[in-house]
Amino acid sequence: MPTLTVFLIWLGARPADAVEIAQDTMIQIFQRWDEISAPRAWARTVASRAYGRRMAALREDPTDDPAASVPVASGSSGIDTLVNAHEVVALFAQLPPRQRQVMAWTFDGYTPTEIAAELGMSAEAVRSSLHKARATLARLRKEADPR
Amino acid sequence: MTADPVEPPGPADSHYEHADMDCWLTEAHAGLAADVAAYLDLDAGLRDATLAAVHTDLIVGVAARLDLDTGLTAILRPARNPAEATGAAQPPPSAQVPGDIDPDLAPVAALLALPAEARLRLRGSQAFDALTEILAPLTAFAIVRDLALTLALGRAFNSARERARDLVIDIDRVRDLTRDLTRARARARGHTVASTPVRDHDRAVIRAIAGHLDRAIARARDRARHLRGDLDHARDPDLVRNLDRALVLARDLDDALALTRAHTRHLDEVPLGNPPAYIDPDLADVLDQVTSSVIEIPDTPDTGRIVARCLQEIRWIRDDFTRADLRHVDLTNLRLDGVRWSRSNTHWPVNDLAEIELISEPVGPNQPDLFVIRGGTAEIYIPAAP
Repeated sequence: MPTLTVFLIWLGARPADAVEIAQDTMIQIFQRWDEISAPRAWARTVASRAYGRRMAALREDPTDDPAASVPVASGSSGIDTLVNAHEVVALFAQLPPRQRQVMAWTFDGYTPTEIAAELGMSAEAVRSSLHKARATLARLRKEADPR
Repeated sequence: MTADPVEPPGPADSHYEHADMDCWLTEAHAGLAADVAAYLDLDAGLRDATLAAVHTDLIVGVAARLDLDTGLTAILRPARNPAEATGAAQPPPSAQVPGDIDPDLAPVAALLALPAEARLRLRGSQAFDALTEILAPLTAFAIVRDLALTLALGRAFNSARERARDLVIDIDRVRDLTRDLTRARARARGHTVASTPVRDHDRAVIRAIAGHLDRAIARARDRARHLRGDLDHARDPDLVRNLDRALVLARDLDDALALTRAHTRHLDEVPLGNPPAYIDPDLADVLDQVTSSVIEIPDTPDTGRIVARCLQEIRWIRDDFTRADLRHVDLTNLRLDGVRWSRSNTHWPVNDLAEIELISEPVGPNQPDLFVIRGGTAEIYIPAAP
């Protein structure tokens, strides 16, 4: 659950949204456990799609705080602050969506070949995105801390 | 639900040129995951995720501890008298034992309490048909009256309101005449049952009342038609929805009135004491009582709903014999067309079963156990045994 939440955050989801989507996904897994052969990959695929749908249906509502209604989020607020305190989140936010996507899968333990199969792209394209992402992150990090 | 182990990126990336970056990212990922894990209440999440399953388990557990078959049987088959204790006839799902009957169905309670054999005998009675026919226009009357009383009509609707008021007066007149007619016929039927000639006076009274009823219904129908015309001409956009509803109701009312008038004429033409009309005095009394109760249902906002429910129950009384034990019933000269029965739960007299099957057809492809006795232009009788 925490790593699925982080996966979504790395994709670009707001922390509060990430918690809600992760919880919904875990509920779906629980309900369909007998049908799912690869739960980890299934969870990430389903959560990614849910995040995509949420992005497509997004309405501007700055007062909205979905996390407040999710039982798994113990506090009504604070997760945004907690997560955004991590430098890596700010750096990831500057990556293009595709690069964030392959980085998120990679740091959840998937190989480029597996990622290619999940995302419907070639392994070479995955490696290329990974290479660009690492280069961009290294540059951004250096710019943030020139020492 | 436990935190997934954080696996470091594998060596699959052949261009492993940013080892430092990967180390930093791995640490950042682990740190972020640890913070998120500390923040989340995983037990609460687990409870939320398993809530549906817990609910399902609860339902399954409760169902396992309840004898649902017996409970359902008790609802569908309350034994109201010794004859019914053997499964002779079952009330519709909405009916309860007489002491606990749905208040809406109080007007027809006496009919609901009848055993299956009595229900079967009622089917041949003109009075029972009349009761059914009276209920249909009553339903429409009640609905139109509700509409006339509740519509907040504007100036354009003044005429419609006047006509609706006239229509209500006519409806009252029809009710009174219907009641008089039913009582007069019951009196005449009493003479027939007692093997005494029907007095010419009784016939004259019945014909006179039927004539009045016929004229009253015709007038009510004219008023309904005019009301519909007024509503057709109204063009207030705020009342479009009410208009649509009123038009449909006016059409229903028109049809119901035509049906009632046709039936009244039919009543007047059928000679009293004809064998199909014969029912014993006790059943005639029950019918008379129920008919009076129905036409005297007080006018309230719920009248339309109550009358419609009574009509539904009476149709059940008339046609549903899917759980009836009729083994000891003499089917001679009983009208059976339209009777619904079940191959597994209806028990016919052994000698009549073949004939019953011959004149029946399945209700539908998905209900192989249910049959309906064919209707048609001729009435179906089981002939007397030689």
